Amino acid sequence: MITPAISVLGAVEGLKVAAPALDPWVLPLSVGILTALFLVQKRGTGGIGKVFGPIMVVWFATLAGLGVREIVHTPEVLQALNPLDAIRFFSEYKFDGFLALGSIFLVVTGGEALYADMGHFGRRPIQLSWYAIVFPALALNTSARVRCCCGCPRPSRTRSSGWVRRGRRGPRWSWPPWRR
Amino acid sequence: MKVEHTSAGNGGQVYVPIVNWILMISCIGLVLGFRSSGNLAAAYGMR
Repeated sequence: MITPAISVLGAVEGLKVAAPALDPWVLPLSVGILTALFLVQKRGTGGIGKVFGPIMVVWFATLAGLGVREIVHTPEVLQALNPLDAIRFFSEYKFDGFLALGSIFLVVTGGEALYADMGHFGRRPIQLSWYAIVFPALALNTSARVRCCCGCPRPSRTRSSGWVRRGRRGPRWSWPPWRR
Repeated sequence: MKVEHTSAGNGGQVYVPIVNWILMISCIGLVLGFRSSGNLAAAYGMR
């Protein structure tokens, strides 16, 4: 119950960051989206997937594209994918390293969901969507964001409001007109 | 209780109307009650 409520509400609240004038519309819009989502449930996973599948492909392609855009500038960030660094991290920080895993705990719930979904979709769709789309897109995008964590060589041109940072933000033409 | 199978090949894919409506009303209730994702996250035990 909390998960759909918090995801939809959190996503719609993002509109306030782009356009503060939309504030009074956040609640009615969230209720509208939730109602629409529950109304289409009777179409089943296959029916809903036909609509949301292509949307998710566009979403992950965008993430991958934004990642590649940063990686061509600073290919060094790809070092973040090196598993040897993870081993070095844990052998150096030991128990503190284990505690640090708390900050990426959603990986566990995500992994658990992946296995639950296996019973729902079957093995093949999970393998395909994960290895061919989700994993490569996230690996590219996250590597690009490493650049922000390790300090941007180029200073950001806009005020960074927490989540609007290089690697997450698209090229200027893709921004809403009032943010350009 | 009515249980509809929505997929010919996948037995695990079911639609239970009454559960769908209970979830819908609860979710909308949570959104209207808590009014922000920050409040919901606090109720969830995050932050």
